[in-house]
Amino acid sequence: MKKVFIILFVLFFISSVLSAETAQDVLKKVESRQNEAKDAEIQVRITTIEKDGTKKTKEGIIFQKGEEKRVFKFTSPADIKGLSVLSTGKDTRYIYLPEFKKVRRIAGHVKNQSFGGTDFTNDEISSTKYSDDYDAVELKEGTETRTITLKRKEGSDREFDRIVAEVTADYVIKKAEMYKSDKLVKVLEVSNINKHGKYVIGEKMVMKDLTKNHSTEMEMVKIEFDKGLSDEIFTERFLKK
Amino acid sequence: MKIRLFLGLLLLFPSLVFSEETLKLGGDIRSNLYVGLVYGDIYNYFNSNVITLKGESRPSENVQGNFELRFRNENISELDRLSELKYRKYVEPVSLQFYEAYIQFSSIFFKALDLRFGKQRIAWGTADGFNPTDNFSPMDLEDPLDFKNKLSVWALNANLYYSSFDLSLVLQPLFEPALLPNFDLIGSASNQMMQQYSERLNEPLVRIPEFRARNFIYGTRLRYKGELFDISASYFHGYAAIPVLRDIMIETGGFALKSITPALSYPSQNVAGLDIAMNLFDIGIFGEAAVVFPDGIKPTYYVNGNRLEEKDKKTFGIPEGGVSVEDKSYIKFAGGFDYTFKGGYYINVQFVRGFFNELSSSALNNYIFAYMKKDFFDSVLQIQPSFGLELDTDKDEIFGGEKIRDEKAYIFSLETTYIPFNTGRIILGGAMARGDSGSNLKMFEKLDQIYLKFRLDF
Repeated sequence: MKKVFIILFVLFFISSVLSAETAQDVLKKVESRQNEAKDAEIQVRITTIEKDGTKKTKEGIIFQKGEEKRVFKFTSPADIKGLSVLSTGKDTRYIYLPEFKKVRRIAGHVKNQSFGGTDFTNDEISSTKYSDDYDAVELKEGTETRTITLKRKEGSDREFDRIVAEVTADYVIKKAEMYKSDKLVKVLEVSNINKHGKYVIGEKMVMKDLTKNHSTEMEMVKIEFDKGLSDEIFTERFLKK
Repeated sequence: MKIRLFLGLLLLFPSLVFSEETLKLGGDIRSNLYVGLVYGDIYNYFNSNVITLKGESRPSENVQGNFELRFRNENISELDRLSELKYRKYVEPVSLQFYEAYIQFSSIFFKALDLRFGKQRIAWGTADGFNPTDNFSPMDLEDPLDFKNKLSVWALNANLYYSSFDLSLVLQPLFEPALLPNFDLIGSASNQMMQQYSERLNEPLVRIPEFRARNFIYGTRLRYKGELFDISASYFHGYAAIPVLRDIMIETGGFALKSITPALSYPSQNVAGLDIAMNLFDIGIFGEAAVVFPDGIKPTYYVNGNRLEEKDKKTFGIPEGGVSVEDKSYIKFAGGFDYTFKGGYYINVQFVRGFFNELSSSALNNYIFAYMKKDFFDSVLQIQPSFGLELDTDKDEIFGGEKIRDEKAYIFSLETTYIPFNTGRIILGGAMARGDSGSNLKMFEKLDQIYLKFRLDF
């Protein structure tokens, strides 16, 4: 009997060691969770909050397919209605300017610029893959969440050299702290984490820029997954419609 | 009773057809005031108040109708008769500009085909502001310093999409002239004879291309959009942007000169274009080149309705030679880069060969245009200085003028935009130009100005 317990204990110990996730595993699963759906159409409301509490609201629709194809179309306010951004690759972006009836290719220098006057950068809005530019180097277990530390890879042009992210048991980022040279610059907090069919998503994100004392709330007003979005949506032709 | 019922249905019908779902309206309200700093010249002040109404109707997924109307009230008119005070059109001049009205059919005949009919803005070219391949839509030079402003044209515009390629075919049967500014952009006054006898000069006539199949304007463009770059090749057959001197009609009475009437027309041209846009080390690079094949124009003189031969010109004191447009191809080019530095400083620099009013090989000058943009106070304030420099020399003999080399000119403007709320803007700016005699940008000296603009989008 004693031998049986010892064997069972050893087997349990080995399986625990083998199944223990690394930080990199957690990062991969987070990305996998973010890109789980084949496609998505999301109506968003973005509210920027100034230092003095003034709020400005913009609304738009996000179309996403796979990891790289994304369209963001502003639907309000009137001065930017119809303005759209298309991403089809890491450095392949186009913007449609309705006032000039022109589609322009956007160069890489805008990726770290503010998206539509918000605290999200163009890169943050269009990118869902961090493992290309970051290594997950540390994993800390918590009571409800786990914390992974991401360190920027050599040669990457991402803005932050370190990101510390709290991840839920469902592999959804609940909070992310972004650092530049050990200085905390931005904090992302995700709330209203709910299930939509078989997918889990945070319906509200708040990005705080600590250097400017400014924040942006992005609320997902309506979310639809796996609609069978056509590739034609991710074209210049669609931007101009 | 029946009439009331009919009227009631008539009022109800549009709301049934154009329900809120199918018709979307929007637009803006603008008020602009320009104050000239060179009093007594052409730009004492100019005021325009515009309500723009934009509509979009989508009765089905494949059909879309768009329109843009501009209701304008401009300038207190220069009243000089008592009787004009009785008419609102003189006291409060208003006009309606039909900017766009078109219908687009998508995937109706072929899945990858979009067909657009009607008055529309056709925008070709990747360069910023100066587009030598963008020849369908004529320039709107009501604000002569705004080179991006264009008019729309009636056209049939077909776009075919296949993978990373798209093919455009445009047919514009009706010629639309550019809206010229209120000064001599054309340079017809450079004609020696007209300068000498300016007091006998009648207002110039202009001849628009007749509506005939042989005068149709058309073009095609093939584009490729790749991961690393976008490239396109185009062909345009049509007319130059602005008219040039074609004929000079001289009326004499005995041996005395009675009048001179210049007549201008639009030179026809074929344009082969190439443009490219790419991203290099995060810097946006763009370039646009157009090889222009113009039909040459040499002004013809008429005396009392009779054509004057070359050998007889001296008798009338008219210099021999001189052309309005040389019968020789030339290349116009616009290329540059843009970049955003840390801190949000955006710059855009372009080299331009051939300004829009330079229509001959010998008339081309080189320019550098640059502007910078920076937001402050969470994008509530935006400052944009702009600069243009004329670098090179043209061959001035094209208008029979003196050979002056190395003319230089510059134009500078500074604009501040205050954005108190999402859809409102208040813009305060100013511009000035200086140039050597014979330079092209010198024509903007008369436009030294400050301006105040208000805009509200809805």
